[in-house]
Amino acid sequence: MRPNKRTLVFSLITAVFCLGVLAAVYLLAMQRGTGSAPPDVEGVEPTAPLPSVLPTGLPAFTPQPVINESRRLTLEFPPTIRAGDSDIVRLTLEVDNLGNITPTAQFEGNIVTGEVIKIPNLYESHHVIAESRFDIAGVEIRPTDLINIPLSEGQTATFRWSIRPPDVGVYRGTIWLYLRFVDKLNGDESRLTVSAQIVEIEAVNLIGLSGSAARTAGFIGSIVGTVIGFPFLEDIVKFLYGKRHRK
Amino acid sequence: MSRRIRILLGIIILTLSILLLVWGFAPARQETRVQPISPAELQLPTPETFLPSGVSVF
Repeated sequence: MRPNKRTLVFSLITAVFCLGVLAAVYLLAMQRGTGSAPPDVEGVEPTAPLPSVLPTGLPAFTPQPVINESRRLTLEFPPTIRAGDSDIVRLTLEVDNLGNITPTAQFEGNIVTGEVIKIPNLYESHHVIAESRFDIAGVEIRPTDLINIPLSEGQTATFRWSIRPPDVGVYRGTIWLYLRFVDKLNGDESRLTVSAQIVEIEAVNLIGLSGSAARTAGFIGSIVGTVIGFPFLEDIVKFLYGKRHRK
Repeated sequence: MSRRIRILLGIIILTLSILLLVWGFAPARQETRVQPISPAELQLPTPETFLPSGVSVF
C-alpha cells in the first residue's frame, strides 16, 4: 500500500506541475496575441490589405441635417494701438457666396449610385447660435462675456469688442467662435468650436506720452507756438498797446 | 535778433506740436484675417469629432 500511496502523491504533484506549466504557456501566448504593438516595427513587412467588404444588410442611409453654405470668418483688429486709447475688434461670420456646395451622390457599399440626396437643412431642425468670446489679459475689454447672435440662413453675424490697453506692452489673447445647436423638437444642445484665433496687440506711446497726453500737449503747443512764432505778433501787440494808450 | 529767436522757437514748438497731434489723431492700422469655413466645419458635432485627428472608429 505504501509504495502505491507514494506513487499517487508523486503523480498528483507531477500533474499539478504540468498543468501549471501549460497554464503559464497559455497565458504567455494570450498576452502576445492581445498585447500592444511590438515596439520595433521597422523592417516588418506590411500585411496584405484586408478586402473592403462591407456588410450588405446596412440600414437605410439617413443623412444628418447640415448647413449647406460656406462661410467666411473675417477678423479685423489693430495690431498696434496707442496706450490709453480705445479701438474696436470686429469678427464677422458671413456667407461665402462663391463656396456653396450641393451634394449629389452617396456611397453605398463602395458604389457610387449617383442618387440625389435630400439633405435636411440644419436651420430648419435646429436653432443655430453663433457665440464668441475675446479672452485677453491686461486689456480693458467690453463686453467681457460671451456674445450670442442667433444665426439664420444667409445671415451675417458680427461681433464687436471695444478694447483699451492701459499701459504700454504686448498683449496676447484668443478670439473664440462657437456654434451652438439647439434642437427645435427636444431642446438638446450641442456646441462646436469653429475657430480660436490668437491675436497680438501692441500698446505703444510716444516719448512716454499716451494718446490723450500727446493730443493735449499738441493742442497747447500749437497755440503757444503760433503765438510765439507769429511774425507780426510784436507789431500787433504794439498796435493794440498804442491804441489803448491813445484812448 | 530776439525777434528771430522768438520766431525760430515758435516754429520749433509748432512743428513738435503738430507732430504730436498727427501721432495722437492718426487712425490705428487695421489687420484683417480672412478664414474660409467649409460647410463640413459647421456641422452638428458627432462622437467621432471628439476623437483625435487620424483616429477613426472603424
